Amino acid sequence: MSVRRVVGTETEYAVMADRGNPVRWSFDVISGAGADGDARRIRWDYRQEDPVNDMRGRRLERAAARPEMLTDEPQRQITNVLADNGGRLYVDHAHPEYSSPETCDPFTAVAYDTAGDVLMRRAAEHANAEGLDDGTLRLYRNNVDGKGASWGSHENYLMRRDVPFDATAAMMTAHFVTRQQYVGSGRIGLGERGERAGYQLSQRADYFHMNVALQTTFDRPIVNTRDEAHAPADMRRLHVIVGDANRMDVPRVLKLGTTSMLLWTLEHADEAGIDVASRLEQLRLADPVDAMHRVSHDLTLAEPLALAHGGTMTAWQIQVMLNALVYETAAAVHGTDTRGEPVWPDRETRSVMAMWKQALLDVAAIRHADDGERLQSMAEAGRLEWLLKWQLVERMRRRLHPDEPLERALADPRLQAIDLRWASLDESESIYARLRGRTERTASDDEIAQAVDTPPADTRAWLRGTLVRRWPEQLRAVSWTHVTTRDDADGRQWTLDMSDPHAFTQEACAEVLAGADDAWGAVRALGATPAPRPRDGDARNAV
Amino acid sequence: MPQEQHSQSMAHDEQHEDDAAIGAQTTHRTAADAAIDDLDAILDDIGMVLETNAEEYVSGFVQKGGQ
Repeated sequence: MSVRRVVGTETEYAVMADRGNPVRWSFDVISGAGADGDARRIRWDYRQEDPVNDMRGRRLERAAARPEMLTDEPQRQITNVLADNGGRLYVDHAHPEYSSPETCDPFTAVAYDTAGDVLMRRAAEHANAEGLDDGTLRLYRNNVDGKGASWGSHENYLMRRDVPFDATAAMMTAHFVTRQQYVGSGRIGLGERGERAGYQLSQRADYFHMNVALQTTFDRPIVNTRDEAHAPADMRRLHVIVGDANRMDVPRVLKLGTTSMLLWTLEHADEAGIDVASRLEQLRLADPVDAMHRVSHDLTLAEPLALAHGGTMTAWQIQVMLNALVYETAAAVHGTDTRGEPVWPDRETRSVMAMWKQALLDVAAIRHADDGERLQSMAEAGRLEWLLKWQLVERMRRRLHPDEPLERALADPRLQAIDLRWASLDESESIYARLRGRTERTASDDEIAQAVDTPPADTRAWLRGTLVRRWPEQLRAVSWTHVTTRDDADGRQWTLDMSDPHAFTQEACAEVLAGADDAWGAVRALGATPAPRPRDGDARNAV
Repeated sequence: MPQEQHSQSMAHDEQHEDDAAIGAQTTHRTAADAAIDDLDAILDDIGMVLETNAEEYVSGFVQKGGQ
């Protein structure tokens, strides 16, 4: 692998309306997603979910888990809608959520991530057209309400299980604390309830209170250990919960791309003869949680972070070291060309490494710029989301409160509203929609439109999405790893095991699908077996 | 590539970028001015909409926590 690995994203949206509450609004949005057809009748199959399995090699007793951790025992009224693109829309707690289909590189992943905005917006429009008691549903892509609540946008990476967990945790801690400088989407307010005035790089940083743990809704950890691979036994899933719900493309490609390359480095350090554990020990932070908050609050981009073994480094310096570790490993594994550049194995990897370097240059340039120069930094603001949002806030301050420092001016709700309108999915009120043309795009409008209707060709999502589109009325249950049919003419249901995310691609299945008359014929030709009958009263199967 | 060397080349690139930026200052300025006019137009719109309902809009945005 390289930057090419199986990745997927999960986005929880904020939803508002005029009357009612966020739980009800979330259900109404998802009902709108299924308004078109039979796909809403397909159940999500929770039997393969295992939310208490911990990457550190142990399991949490179910009785000791808080109820919201048991995502495989959802409320009965939960609505799931399988999307034609192989993804899924559903209610998670009090938020409508989109899980993208599995993709094989960061650029494709971002196109499918953006497709979620389109699907969610369309769902709300359908629901609104029905004339709900709620009033008009409005969606936002952000992570905080400024009153104490936070919700997530997660990244998922398939990685080799033989990488020691301690090395993964050490690498990811160093990365997640410091990558905020180029992937943060910007936030007005400091502290979980925005109790202190100020602007910071990241939406999510203030909500992290532990270094490594299993849970995702309270005492959130920088490194989440939920180990639910949805894949063969030699692989595991790294479930990343620290990221912001960015609107811009570049920060999202960078989140997925840089993290993928660091995982690749962990997977290949031995082969390259690099003692990655001792390298990471040099980067170990004295207090990662404190550093996470500090980096996000530090608009100078230069604050020293205390290291566990004495001395300090800035977030930028740690990023340069991590980037150098990837180069060193790649040079040993792939060899170098005449300029000393590693011979990257594919176009996507070459692009990500160039973008990462550019991001480090952008951060360096902004670090040395004063506020006046930062307002003029157009090119950097086309790539750094927190900077573009800051430019708007700062210009508004100069206009409305020319004699006040930003901290005091931020008490003005007209400034605070910029953060919220940035996140709005309503194109008529979204500030981001107005500025999109000034940002660097990695996916065209055509590519996004295609990602809404068509599954990725090179993962099992191709078969899932194709079956859902062609024969939704013949499918009983779907999960990431299985598809189960309804009764065939003989009263039998069939289950297809799709544990390998690289199997059941377009190349592997297109011929069978072209020759199939129905879902039963298709899945049987692909190796489905008779499904065990569901047990009555089994809560985990009742959705 | 050894780490130090890579860090140096990063620092070198940064310097190089600075030089390039100074060289292209005039064209940059014009483009930046146009961009700022653009931002100002957006701020005009926001200002008009928010003048009336900003406080309600911001204080009414209340969510429950998620993952």
